[in-house]
Amino acid sequence: MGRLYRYNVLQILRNRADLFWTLVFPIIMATLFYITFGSSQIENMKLIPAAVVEGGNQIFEAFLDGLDGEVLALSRMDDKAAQKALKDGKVNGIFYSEGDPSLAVAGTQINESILEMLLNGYRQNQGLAEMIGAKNPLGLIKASKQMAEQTDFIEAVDAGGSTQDSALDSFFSLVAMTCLFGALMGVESAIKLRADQSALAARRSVTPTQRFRLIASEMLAVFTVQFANICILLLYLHFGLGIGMGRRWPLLLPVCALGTLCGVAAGFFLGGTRLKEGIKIGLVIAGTLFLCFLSGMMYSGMKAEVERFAPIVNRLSPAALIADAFYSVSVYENSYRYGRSLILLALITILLTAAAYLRMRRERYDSI
Amino acid sequence: MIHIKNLVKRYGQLTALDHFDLDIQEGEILGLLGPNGSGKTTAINCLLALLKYDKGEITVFGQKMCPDSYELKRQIGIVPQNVAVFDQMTVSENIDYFCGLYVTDKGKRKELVEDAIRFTGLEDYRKMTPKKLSGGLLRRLNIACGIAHRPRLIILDEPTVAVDPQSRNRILEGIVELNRNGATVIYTSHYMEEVEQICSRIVIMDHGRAIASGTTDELKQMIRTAETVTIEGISLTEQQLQTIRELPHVFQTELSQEHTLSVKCTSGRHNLVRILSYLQEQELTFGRVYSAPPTLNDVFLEITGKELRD
Repeated sequence: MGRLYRYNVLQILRNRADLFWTLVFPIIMATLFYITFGSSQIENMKLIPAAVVEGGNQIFEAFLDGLDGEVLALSRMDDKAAQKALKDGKVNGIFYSEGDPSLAVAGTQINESILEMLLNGYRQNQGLAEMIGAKNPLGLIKASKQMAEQTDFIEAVDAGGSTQDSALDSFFSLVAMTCLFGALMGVESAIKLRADQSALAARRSVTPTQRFRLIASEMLAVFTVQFANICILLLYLHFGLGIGMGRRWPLLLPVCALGTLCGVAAGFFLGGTRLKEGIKIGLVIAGTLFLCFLSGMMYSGMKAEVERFAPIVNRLSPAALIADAFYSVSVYENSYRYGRSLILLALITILLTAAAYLRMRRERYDSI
Repeated sequence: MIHIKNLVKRYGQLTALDHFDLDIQEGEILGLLGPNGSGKTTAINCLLALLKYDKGEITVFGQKMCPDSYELKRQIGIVPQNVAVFDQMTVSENIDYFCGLYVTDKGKRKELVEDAIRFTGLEDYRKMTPKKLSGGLLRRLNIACGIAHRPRLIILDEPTVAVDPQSRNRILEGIVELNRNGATVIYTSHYMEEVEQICSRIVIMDHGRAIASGTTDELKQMIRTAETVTIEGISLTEQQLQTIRELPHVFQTELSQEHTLSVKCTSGRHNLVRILSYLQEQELTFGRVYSAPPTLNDVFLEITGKELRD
């Protein structure tokens, strides 16, 4: 099977048309998104710029220091300078480190909401923070990070899956699109496995190699190449365009793996039908773009609209689940939603893989 | 070696194989001859357990052929009608890929792949991808992929379609050599000259049935025509044509609009001399004259009433 797998990978890598759609095209799209949204908005995805005006509350300041470089890009200023920075848009908010800490913001966008949530989180755990600060001041930094990781307050702005961030919607939907574009290679591989659809498949079907080995080696090869494409795209997004994936980025890998397998299995399933090859390819492209449109690739408010009127679509659409899992890891750090998206994606992938295998395993046909 | 009995295959209302029977002996080159749509490829696909059939029985090497008859499949090599290779792989990679579906031992496979490349004369093209090969070379690659594992039974389904004469001759010579080396060959074609040239036994198919079988000579003896005399550039009256028709052993005459007279005769001596004597007696002028023994097309024409090339 290793030899079959190697040859299958070789063939896919030499197919320039497939590589264009599954690797080059998403990179071009990502670059265009980057140009469209502008680098300043992209930068905002990483750290929220905030000012702190020192007022003697050392425990709160230590709490903020714990978030500096993780969630916040913190600058210590006097009140006047901080007000000017806020007015000029250089910071999204000013924390006043007084006895009862407060926050001044100039807008109602997501960054301002997150700053407010951080403050609320501190207030809810103020007693605990003061106790830790008194007994073990060094432990306060760790505790502040843990407070920031609490997900319940983040849910408050996470209304119906909307993030209010068009740039992230587009980028994460683009990753979803690339995962699902694995279906393009899946369709081609399936055609080469069904004896009623190609002479090549008929030839392979009359060899003494077990059907399962032929199918498994093909699926594995397509999955490998497409997963590598996704990794290249993520590296490009991160290092090329400077889009932060969050500190829990390793959690994105199972999302990408499942998303890719989901796309590949869908491709094998569709490839096993008796539709013409052009129609199959057209269905893959149209279906993928439609799902990505619903998950916010072209219009950032789309996912929230879908959530409001037909939430089931967001639970069943692989594109929405992939994008949502990315948000859960990169923005919200919401373990519940990440887990839910991953489980739903896994279920859909298992169903599609089983359906694809059942369709592909046939060895004798009514007509060829 | 192969036994097909009473095979029936229907596609809806169309009967592709109509109680088709076939027996193949080890060591022979069996030609399945018939026009397009006569059921040759359908019969092959049923034999290979690719197609479901409605009725009948197929045994290969004494065992029932099923989709999971892997040990039987290991001994069979198939060269399909359409070239079936990977466009993204080179000549040697393609042969190695298909050989590897039968032979797992790497060292042995390497040797077999080299032999197949030499046998099909593809030494200079081993690094080329199929897109860069001519039609003839592509057909040779198609054959190499089917024979590299040295099968006991080789099935070639119209392997010379759209091939130049030079490549065609090379392919036909190769098939005879494979047979000399011990392989049994099933060769399907609608080119009667090829079948006549290389096959030790021929089965003629039409409308999904085997309508005649035997060696070339046996088939020719089955029909009335023993000799066809053709005279070009001649003009005849209806009376003269009738007189020729009444000559001994003549049973059919045909005068084309291009003034070519075709006279079919049963077995008998001096048929040509008799016809020419009559033409001389009538002081008729004419062009080229030739006499030919019956062809497989004559056999097919006489049995089915239509040309094999139709």
